[in-house]
Amino acid sequence: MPLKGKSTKQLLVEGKDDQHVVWALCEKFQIEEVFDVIDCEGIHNLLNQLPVRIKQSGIQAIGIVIDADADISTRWRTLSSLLSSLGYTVPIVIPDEGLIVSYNEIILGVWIMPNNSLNGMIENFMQFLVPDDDQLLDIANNSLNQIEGDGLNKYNIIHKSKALIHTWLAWQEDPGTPMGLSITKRYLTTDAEICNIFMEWIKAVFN
Amino acid sequence: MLPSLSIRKFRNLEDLKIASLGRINLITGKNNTGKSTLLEAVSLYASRCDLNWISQLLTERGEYSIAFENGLNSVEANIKVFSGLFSNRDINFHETGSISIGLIENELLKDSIWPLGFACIRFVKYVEEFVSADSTLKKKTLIREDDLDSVIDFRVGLELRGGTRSYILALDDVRNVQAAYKTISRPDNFQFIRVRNIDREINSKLWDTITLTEKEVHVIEALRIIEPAIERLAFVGDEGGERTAIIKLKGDNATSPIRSMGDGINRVLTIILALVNSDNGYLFIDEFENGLHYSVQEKLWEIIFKLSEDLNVQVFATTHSEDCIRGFESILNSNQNYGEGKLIRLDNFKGKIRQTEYTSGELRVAAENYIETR
Repeated sequence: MPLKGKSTKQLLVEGKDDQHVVWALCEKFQIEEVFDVIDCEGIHNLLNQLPVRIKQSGIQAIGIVIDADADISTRWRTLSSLLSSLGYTVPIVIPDEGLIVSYNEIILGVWIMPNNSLNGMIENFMQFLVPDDDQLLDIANNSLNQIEGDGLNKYNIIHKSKALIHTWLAWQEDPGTPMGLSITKRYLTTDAEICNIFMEWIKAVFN
Repeated sequence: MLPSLSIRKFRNLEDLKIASLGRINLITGKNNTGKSTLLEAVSLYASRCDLNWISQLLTERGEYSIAFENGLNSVEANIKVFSGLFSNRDINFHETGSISIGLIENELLKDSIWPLGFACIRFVKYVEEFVSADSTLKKKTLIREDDLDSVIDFRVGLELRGGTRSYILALDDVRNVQAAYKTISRPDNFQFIRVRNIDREINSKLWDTITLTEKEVHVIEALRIIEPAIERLAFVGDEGGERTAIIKLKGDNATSPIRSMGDGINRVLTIILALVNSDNGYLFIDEFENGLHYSVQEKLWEIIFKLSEDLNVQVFATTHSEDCIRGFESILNSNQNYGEGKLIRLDNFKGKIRQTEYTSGELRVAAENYIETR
């Protein structure tokens, strides 16, 4: 297996979906991909890899995109103590526009999905990208509420946003389109303000 | 065993500090970042600034050939040769210009550790005085730091400090320097294997020192990594001439010279003979992977991890090879009771050499996730 991440600029993400979403957004925003997007296969692995990746020869910038999950403040606490141990000075609260810090001339960026302030995950971020004139999201949401009310849901409530976006995606022109591709296929728009903020953060980390 | 390492003003290592060393230290990094220089620095420390060893290091780098061709007088030529040891070939008579190699300075422990903790080399100005009025015995007195720039009448020397020894070599006479080489015996607490040392002339002598000891078994076992059928090893040849290694295979009456068997087995022989002759000292291997298939490297690491602990040898090796690092990591994290291993990478960062240290845990993460460490 070849080494993962040859570039001196690397964006670490939790999974394949995140990876494809970033690629699709970069294409939409015509951002030159001067960085590798690396699927670290889970938050645990990502946090384990961070200190080792920062030690790579000639590394210039590392960005990480992780999910807030159930409690963003817990997530931020874990992360900020890791970053401090690596020498970075970090604020008490992560800025809304994402964190960008530098130490030993290595830039480090952090984005916590969905928007650096809410609990949740990348699927919540995707909900922001559903077009304004869409009518299916409400219906999908109601359906989920109903099966939850009847106790028929097999997913954990924590993953409701996942169930919601994938239900919504199942009702599009080509059912089963993954999240990244649904941006390319324009089921999802990239007009939302949060999308701009995210892309500005990416540009700032890797330029 | 050195627990940490500080190198100042030695060649391109102007100020390098490695906070913690292991039993086995693998050094990686791009070309010209000072990997071999680091090995040489530690060997200098191990030799306690032995003049013969310094001379070998200078010869390796071709320093003698450049100095004597330009019609310089002997002091100038000697200074030029020895300046090759110093960062930027800087000739500085002040204390601050001194090469120093040893543990990371701990201000509190400094007095108790010095001089054992350091090897120092520097150019000095001195005067020679009779010890007393009626004596013929002379003593070299260093010119005080404050007077260095004002004194006119002085001689030039090279001060060598290492272990409990401190010695001033007069540089105003080539014969002086040559005589000094002969009076100091070659240190025997380390072995240094260079890139081109597929085999070494001294292999036969190293074999003699371990003949009929259990170390013989270690050597045969190491050779079996490459040729499992090897039963016995001997060195044969004319008296006085160079002796070569021959081996006998199981079920085979004939012997064959080991040189006929390719680079790999000869390199393994060289490394293992050096290792079993470095008890309570140091082993230096420049470009570990040289001549070795990747599957052999891991097995050789295993033997080195095991024996270096048993024989109390601290190992320093350099590599460019990912396979070498993988083999190293795999043995390091194999849950055996081996000594600690460290990977250290040197990088040239804006003209200064900087180090990055990896623990066994970090190396495991790097290996599992295919992250580059070189």
